[in-house]
Amino acid sequence: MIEIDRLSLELKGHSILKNISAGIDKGSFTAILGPNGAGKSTFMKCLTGSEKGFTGTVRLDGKKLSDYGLKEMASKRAVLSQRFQVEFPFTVEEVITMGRYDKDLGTTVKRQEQILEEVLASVDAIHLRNRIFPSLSGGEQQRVQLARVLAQIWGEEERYLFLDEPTSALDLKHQVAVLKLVRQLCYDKGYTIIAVLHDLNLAKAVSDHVILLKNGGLYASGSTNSLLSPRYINTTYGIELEELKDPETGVSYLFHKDFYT
Amino acid sequence: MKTLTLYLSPSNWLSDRRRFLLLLVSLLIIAVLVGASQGPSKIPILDLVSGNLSEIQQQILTGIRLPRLFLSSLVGGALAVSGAALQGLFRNPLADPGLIGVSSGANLAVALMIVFAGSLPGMLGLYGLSIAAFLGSLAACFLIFTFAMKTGHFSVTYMLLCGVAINALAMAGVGFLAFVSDDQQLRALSMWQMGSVGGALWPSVMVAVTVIIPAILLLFANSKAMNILILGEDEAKYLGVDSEKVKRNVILATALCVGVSVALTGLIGFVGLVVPHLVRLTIGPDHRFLIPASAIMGAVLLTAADTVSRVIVAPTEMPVGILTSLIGGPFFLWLLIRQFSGRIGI
Repeated sequence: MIEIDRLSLELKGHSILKNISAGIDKGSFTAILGPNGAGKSTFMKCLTGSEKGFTGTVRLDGKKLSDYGLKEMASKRAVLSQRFQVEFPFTVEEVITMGRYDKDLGTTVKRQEQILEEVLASVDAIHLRNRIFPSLSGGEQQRVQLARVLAQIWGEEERYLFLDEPTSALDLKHQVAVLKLVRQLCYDKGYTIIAVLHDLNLAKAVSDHVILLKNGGLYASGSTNSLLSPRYINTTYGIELEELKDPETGVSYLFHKDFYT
Repeated sequence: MKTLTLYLSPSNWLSDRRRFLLLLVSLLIIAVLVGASQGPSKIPILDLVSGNLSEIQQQILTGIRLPRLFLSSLVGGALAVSGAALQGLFRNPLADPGLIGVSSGANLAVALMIVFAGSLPGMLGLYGLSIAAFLGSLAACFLIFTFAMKTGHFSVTYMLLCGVAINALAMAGVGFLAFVSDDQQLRALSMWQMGSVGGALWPSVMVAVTVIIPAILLLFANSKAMNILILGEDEAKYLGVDSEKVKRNVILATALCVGVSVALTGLIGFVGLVVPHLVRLTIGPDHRFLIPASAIMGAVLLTAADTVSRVIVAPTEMPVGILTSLIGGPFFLWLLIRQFSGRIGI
């Protein structure tokens, strides 16, 4: 459970986030959506404990973020950032093992190997294990980083997983695979997923809740079904979307009207 | 039987990295033996090993060659490790204490000491110079870091330009000091600029041991966290690494290594650039191996270079700093080309 109460942030005299209050239920999949520059990544940084300069309070499981230690936070949540640059030729295996920093002491070598294999398999990267990380393509790097992030909390329950545009560099197949994977972790392990997403139809398919941000403020927050409709989306993004319902399955899709008129 | 084969098969018994460390240790032993045998009066290596030495040979060995070998090993190790640590800290394979201005910060502080404080006798004077040099390199590190934080990133271009500025400033300072100094101070200053382990005596070795060994151990203790820091500061935080503390430790240890090296031997460039690079090419960038391997390889390299610079222009000797720059300069250019070829702009 994350409770956000009147969260505001100013950086260098600019107001980045304005008075955001919202709640994120434990075990749910929450998508953070909004136009470019709406403050999505910064908002997430406030929730992960990386950005500390905000006013207002953020509580994680009832305890203020500022009362958590680094290690305690690290055992509760894992974070996939939007950008990562590794300048040195670490192998994929080494990068993923870094996700187990501090945790290997309590686990056997056999279990460490098992975790490594499982997270690699989960992002379809077994074949990349001995490759040099900086030599991988953008999408491969993103999957390996996700595997590292998962390794941090692998096998544990009720953890928080923050993902900043986890599918931005992925091809269609892996976009679906990755979102299905985290959706599954949400069901099976009770993970709470908070993800910044851009593809509205994917967000519609995987998330329970949506937080819509615009110009640094909270535009709307609520269930995916009610918010991911043209009525809210069009005013948030300033576009013209229309909803189309598949009569057989009852699933509805959003599509750009502009292209077809 | 199965356990025996497991035990004997090299991949289980010794990883590639451990074997590389062993190889380096044996190279260091060879470099020290060769260094001890070479000089105006040659001592055959066999006699060195068997201990079959005349009294004069023993005196040459303990009074002149051994302290020099110790000092070159320690300083070589210290410089190589500082390079590795700074590269990790700046997430940038082109960092070197000389290039980014850490050494010249120390150099300026030493020059200030020579000209204004005069010389204190013996170990006290050496520690005094070392402390001044440590503060100088710490100030330079701090300056680079503060500017990097202000702009928010650690690009290669930025870091090198920052080094250019600090080097220019320090050079102006040293130049001014040379201008106002008397003849004796001037000679001491110019000897410093060239960098040499010549004239090493046991007090210098003592100072080096007591500063460099703990500093390297401090870096080694932080090596796992330094790996994580390569992922980025936010990522390190997410994994529970206190990145501020790690950075502080790394800067402290680096400033100690560079400071004492500059105070004892002057400016010896490029060891910190070349050695970590060669180590990474062989066993990869993991700091848990990079730090110890760089320390030993730096010791090997500087000891070998010093032996060459003693022998090559015998009966006189060349300051070893000239030789390391002669090798390091082209190496740096090669790295620059490799780094930037195929990119648009810098």
